[in-house]
Amino acid sequence: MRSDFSIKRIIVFIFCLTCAAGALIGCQRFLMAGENRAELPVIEGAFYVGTDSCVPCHDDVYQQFKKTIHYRLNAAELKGVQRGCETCHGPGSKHLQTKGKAQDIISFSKLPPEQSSQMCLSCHQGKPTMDWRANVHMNNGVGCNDCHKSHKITGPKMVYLGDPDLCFSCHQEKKAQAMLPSRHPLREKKMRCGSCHDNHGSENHNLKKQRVNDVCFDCHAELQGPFVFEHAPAVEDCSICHEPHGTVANNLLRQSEPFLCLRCHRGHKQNPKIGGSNPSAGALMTSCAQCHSAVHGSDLPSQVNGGGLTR
Amino acid sequence: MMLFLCLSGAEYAGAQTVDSSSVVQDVTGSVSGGYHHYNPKGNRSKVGEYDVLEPGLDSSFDLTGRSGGNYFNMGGQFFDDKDLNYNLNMDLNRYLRSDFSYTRFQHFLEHDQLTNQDSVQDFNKGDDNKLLIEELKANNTIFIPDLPFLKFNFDYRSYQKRGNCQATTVGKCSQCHVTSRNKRVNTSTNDVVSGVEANFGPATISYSHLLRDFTEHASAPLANYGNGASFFLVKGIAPYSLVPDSRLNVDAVNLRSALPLDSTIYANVQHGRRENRDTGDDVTFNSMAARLSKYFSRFLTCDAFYNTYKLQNKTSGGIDIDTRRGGLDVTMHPLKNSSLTCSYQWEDTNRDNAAWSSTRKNIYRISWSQRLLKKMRLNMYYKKTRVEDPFVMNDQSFTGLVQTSLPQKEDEMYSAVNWSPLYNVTLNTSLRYTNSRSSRYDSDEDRWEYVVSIWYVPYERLTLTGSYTLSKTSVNSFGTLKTYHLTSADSLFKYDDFPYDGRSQAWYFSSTYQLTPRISVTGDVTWIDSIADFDKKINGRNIGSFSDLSIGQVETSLGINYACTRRLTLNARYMYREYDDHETSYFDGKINMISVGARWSF
Repeated sequence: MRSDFSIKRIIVFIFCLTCAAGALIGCQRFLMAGENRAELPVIEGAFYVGTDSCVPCHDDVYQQFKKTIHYRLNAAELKGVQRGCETCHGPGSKHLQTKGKAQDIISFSKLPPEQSSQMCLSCHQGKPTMDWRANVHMNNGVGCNDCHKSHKITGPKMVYLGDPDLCFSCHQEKKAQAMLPSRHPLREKKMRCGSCHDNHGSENHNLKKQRVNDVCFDCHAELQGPFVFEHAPAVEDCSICHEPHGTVANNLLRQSEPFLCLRCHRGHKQNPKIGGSNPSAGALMTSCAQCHSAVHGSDLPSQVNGGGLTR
Repeated sequence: MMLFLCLSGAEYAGAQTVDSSSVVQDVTGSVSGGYHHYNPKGNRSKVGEYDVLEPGLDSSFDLTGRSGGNYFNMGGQFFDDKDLNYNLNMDLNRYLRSDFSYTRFQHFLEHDQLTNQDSVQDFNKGDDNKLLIEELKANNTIFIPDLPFLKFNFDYRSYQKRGNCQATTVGKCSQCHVTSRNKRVNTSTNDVVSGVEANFGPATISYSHLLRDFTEHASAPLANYGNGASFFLVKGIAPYSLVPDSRLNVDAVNLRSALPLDSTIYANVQHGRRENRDTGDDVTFNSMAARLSKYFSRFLTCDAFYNTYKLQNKTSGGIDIDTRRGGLDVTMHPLKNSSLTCSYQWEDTNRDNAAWSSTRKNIYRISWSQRLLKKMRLNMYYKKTRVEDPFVMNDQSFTGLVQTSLPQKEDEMYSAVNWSPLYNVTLNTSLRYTNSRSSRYDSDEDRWEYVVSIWYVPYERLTLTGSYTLSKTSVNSFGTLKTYHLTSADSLFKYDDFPYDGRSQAWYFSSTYQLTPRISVTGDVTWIDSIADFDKKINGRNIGSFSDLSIGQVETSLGINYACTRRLTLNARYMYREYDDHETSYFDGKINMISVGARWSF
C-alpha cells in the first residue's frame, strides 16, 4: 500500500510539473508573441549600430527629433529596447554599409500604411489605439504617418496641422458643412473633430462612444434624462433628426420644421368648423417646437394626454 | 497574475537609461498683443454666433521648455473676458504627464419672434439670448518606474453653461396661447474618470470608471396654464422646461492582445447606469465588443467583430433597446499601392415599448484605394444598406398609423481623387451620392456632395487656394395631417408627395503673397448660398412657405504681416462678414472688424 501511494504521488508530481512547465512555456511564448509579428518589416542580416552612426548624415532630422516626445521616452517605457533611431527604423548596419540605400532601412514612406502603422502599434498598445483594427481610416489606406509627423515639432500629439484643419484637408465636405448657418463651433476652434470622434478606431464608426447619444450627452447632458415622457427617436438615436456637421435648417436639424416632424408625425390642420385664423396655418405649420418645446423629453406632463412634450 | 508580473518585471530589468551627455535644454516662446475693434450692425445672433463682438485688447502667449526628460508647454489666448483659452502640457520625466486646458466662449442664441403665432405672450421680446460656456479639463497620467507595466489615469472635466435661453410652452391650451420667457441656464457637468492601464508583454488591459454629475442650479420658468377643461392635467401657474439633475456611472474594461498565429484580439466590456435624480428613474446599459484580427500575409488581413448593447429603461413605458451587431472586414492588396476592403455587417435591434419591436440591418461595403500615378491617389467606395422594419413612430390616436423618416434601402457611392500634376499644383475632387428610399413609408431622398479644390503656387512668392462645394438634398416624403381638435379617422388626411429641397454652395478663395522678404499679404473670401425649401399646397395654401429658408453668407478678410526683426512681427487685419436671411430679414447682420498687433518670439 505504501509503495502504491508513493508511485501515485510521483505521478501526480510529474503531472503537475509538466503542467507548470507547459504553462510557463506557453506564457513565455505568449509574452514573446508581440515581438514576432509577421506584419513588421525586417531587414535581413542587419544589426544595430547605434544612433551615433545616423547623425553624420541625418543631423537635421536628429536635431528635430531631440525636441520630440519620442526622444524623451523613459527607458522603462521602451521595455529595455531603447535604440534611438533604430527603435523604429530597424537595425542600420546594412544601410550604413551601402552608404544610405533606402531599401536597407525601414523607411516609413515606402511602407504600406498597414505595415508602417503596425510599427507604431508595437509600442502604442494602450489607449487610444487599442481598437486600431476598427479604424475607418486604416481600412481606407490612411496610416499613422499620414496625420502624425514623428520627426517634426508640431502641435499636440505630433499632429502636424492640428484638429480640425488636418481633418478638413481630406474631409472637405465636412469643412463646407462647418460653415453652414447651423453648425458646431469648429471654425472658431471652440470644438474639435476629436471632441466627438475617436480617430484611432472604436466600436461605432470612429465615434468616441458606442452610441451616438452618449457622444452628444458629453456637452448636452441636460438632455440625457431618463425622462418620464420620452420622445422615442431621442432615445433611439439623436442623428435621426440632427446632422451634427452642419445644416441649413435651424438647430442642426436634417430638414426644416415642420417638414422633418411631419415625416413621422401627423400634423395639425386648420379646423374648418372654427375657420378664420384661430388656430391659423402659420401657428400650426411653422415650428412644431414652439408648442412641443420639450421635444427631447420631459418629466412634466402636458395638458391633454401627458405625453405631448409641451412643457 | 503573479507570474505575469514576475516575467514582465524581468523584461524591464535590463532597461537602459537616458544618455546624460545628450540632454536637451532650451526654452522658446512668443508673446503677442493687440487691439481689435468690431462694428456690428443688425442682428448679431447669426453673424457672430460664437464671437464676442466687443472692441478691446487681445493677447496671447506660448512658452515651451525642455530639460532632459522634463517638458512643458503652456499657452493662452485672451480675446475678451468671455472669449479666452489657456492650456498647460507638462511631462515630468514621463512619471507624471498632465494636460490641462480651460476654454471659455459665448454662444449667441436666436430669439424666435413667434410672429407666426396668433396668440402669443413673449415676456422677453427683443432680448438677447446667450450662453457663456466654460470647459476645464485636466488629464493626468502617472507612471511609476518600479511598476513599468502600469499607468494610472486621473481625469477631471468640468463643463458649465450659464446665461439664458428662450423657453416656450402652450400656456393656455384652450386659447392656443404660446408663452415665451427667457429661462435662466446655470448647468454644470462634472466628470471624474479614474483608471489604470496594464501592459503584460503583448497584452494590454485597462479599466476606467466615469462618474458624471449633472446639475441645473437655476429654477424652471413659470407659465399660466389657465383653468382649461376638466380633463386637463395642468392648471393654473406651473413650471415648464424643467431640466432634471442626473448622474451617470460607467465602468469599462478594455483588453487588447497579440495572439499566436499573427492574430490580435480586442475586447471591451462596459456597464453603466444613468439616473434622473429628480424622479429617481434610471437607465442601465451593458455593452460588450470583441474584434478578432488575423494577419494572413502582407496581402490579406481579416477582422471579425461582434458587439452587443443592451439598454434597460426602468421608467414606466420607457424604451428598452437590445442591439447586437457583427460582421467581417477583409482587406487585400491585389495590386501594388492598392488596397481593397470588403465588409459585411449585420445589426439586430430589439425594442420593448416601441412601435416596431425589431429591426434588422444588413450593410455591405466595398472600398478601393489606389495610387494611380506617383502623384495621383484614388479612393472610392460603395455602401449598400438594407433595413427590415426600420424604427418608426406610432400614432397613439390612430391605431396602425406608423411613420418614419428612416429608409428601408440606402445606397451610397463615394469617389475622391487627389492629384498633383505639377510640383506647384494640387487638385482634389470628391463626389458622394446617397439615395435613401422606403416603399413602405413612401419616401425617397437623394443627397449629393461635390467638392473641388486647388492649391497652386504660380511662383515662389504667391500661393493660391480655392474650393467649391455643393451639397444638395432632395426629399419626397409621405405626410399626414389631422384636422385640429378632431380625432376621428375622418379628420385624417394623408399625402404622399411632400417635396423638400435643400441646397448649399460654398466658394472659398485665399491667397498669400510675399511682397518683400519682410512683408506678406494674405486675403480670403468665402461665399455661401443656402436654401431649404418645402412646398406643399393644402386647401390652396402653401404650408411650406412659413418655414422656407434662403440664406446668404459672405466673409472676407485682408491681412498684412511685417517682420521688423527676426523676433518682432507686426500685423494688421480687416474682416467683413455678412449674414443675409432673404426670407424674413430678421436675422440679417453685418460685422466689420479691424485688428492690429505685434508678436515677439524668443
